[in-house]
Amino acid sequence: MLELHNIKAGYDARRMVLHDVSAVMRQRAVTVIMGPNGAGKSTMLRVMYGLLKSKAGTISLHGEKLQPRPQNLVEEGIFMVPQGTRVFRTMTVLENLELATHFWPSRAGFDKKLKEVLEHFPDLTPRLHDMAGNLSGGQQQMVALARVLINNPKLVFLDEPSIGLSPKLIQDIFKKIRTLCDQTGAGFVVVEHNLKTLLPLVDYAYILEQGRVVYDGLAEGKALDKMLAATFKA
Amino acid sequence: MEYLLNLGIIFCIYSILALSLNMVVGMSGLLSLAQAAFYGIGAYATALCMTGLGLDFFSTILIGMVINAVIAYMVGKILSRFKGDYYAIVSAGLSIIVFSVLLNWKSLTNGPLGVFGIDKPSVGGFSFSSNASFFLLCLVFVAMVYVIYYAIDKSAFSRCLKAIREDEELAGSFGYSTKRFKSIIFVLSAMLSGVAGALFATYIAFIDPSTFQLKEGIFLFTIIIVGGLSSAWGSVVGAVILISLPEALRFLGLPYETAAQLQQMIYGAMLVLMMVLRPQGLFGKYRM
Repeated sequence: MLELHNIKAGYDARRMVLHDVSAVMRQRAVTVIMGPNGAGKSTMLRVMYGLLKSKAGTISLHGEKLQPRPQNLVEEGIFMVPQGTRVFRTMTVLENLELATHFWPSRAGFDKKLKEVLEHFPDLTPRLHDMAGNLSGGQQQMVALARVLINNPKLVFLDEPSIGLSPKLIQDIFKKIRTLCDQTGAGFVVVEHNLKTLLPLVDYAYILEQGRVVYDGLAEGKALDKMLAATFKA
Repeated sequence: MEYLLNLGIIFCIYSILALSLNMVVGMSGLLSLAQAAFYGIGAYATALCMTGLGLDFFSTILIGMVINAVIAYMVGKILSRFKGDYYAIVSAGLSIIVFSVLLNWKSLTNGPLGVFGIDKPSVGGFSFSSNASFFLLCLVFVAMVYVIYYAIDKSAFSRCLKAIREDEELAGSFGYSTKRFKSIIFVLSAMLSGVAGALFATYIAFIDPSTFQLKEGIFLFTIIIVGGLSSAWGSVVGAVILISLPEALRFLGLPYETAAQLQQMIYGAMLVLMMVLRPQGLFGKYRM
């Protein structure tokens, strides 16, 4: 669906963070981008979402070149949940979700979809009128997922959704992502440091090291295990 | 009675200014100190069009609003790149520039001597020349601005503004054109400030640049901090409290200089107390 071809990018002209990165982000699949700190994982996500301009290389969507910008990508059904703050803390859960009404022509259509989405997140229904900032980290992540799901996404980028969550909650979040992918057909691209134990829930994996893709393929097999061992040996 | 009506008119003018500023600061989290500039432009547009071109009051309000909209749109494009303290500094710059223009463009504004002989508004042969009728006119404008504030506050547009106030990057990642939203609310706020300027000019019948300095913008900021950020009612109450204060000091019979200094001390103490005890202001929904 979204393809990167030989992308070079960085925050200052003299020092590139990404070097000739090529990758394919697919619909109906969970893709994980892993790598040690400073490998360029979040930079890769920022470039794909148009938050950072690439210095070289091209990005294409459905085979057509594009200069990504969040405003254009959301129209194509591509959304992102950035790292760190996941919700608007002083707005209620419902207000957080209602931000999506902006993309809906009628309130009735939105309400119908909201009901449908809340079936995926039953824990949120009794908390709709609570301040989102008062929710637990796991519930906040659920609000962030629900907020993008309302818009019938084709592709969702998640930047380190495990930050600040317990291993049990991380497992739950990934199971939810897997279920949502299977049930809705949306593709999920998850940037994480190292989630070896969660690889059975993932379809494709990319491993980045010093801004280069050192593994690209199915999220299983000996080659991946070997590369993970080599990358995270420290 | 005349004194109370005079006070009521000033309450109304400052309520309009506070409501319009609260759209930018309270709803959107943008620390604008430019409100005095738009207040001044509105006042001068009305004063110059009425005295120089002989236009009626209501046409001049529209002219002031359009001029403010154009300036706010252009300045807003630059301002929307900034946030936080930088936004405050750049917007303060606009206020200083407008004051300098009003002071130095003597062929148009008559410089420090100001514009005299501004008539009271009139419509269909009826002149709002008495304080009572002018107060009623002001109340109508306050009600209109209040309704506009309320309508925006309950709209999906305001929800986006609040999202930007909370976390601009997160709102941007959701596909919102945050710069456009910031620019639109800045323009709307500037237009409404122009209405307050027009009322002020016709009420006082004389304006000069000294009324529209940066310190006026800071005073308006104080009103909404005390009254409450992101609250329409708080804007009005804040205006009433801060306008009443110097009036109350009059009755103490203090010498003018002492009263003026005491007023500043009380304003300062109020701000500090509000920041410590109730950072969201009396009726505020949002903490800066």
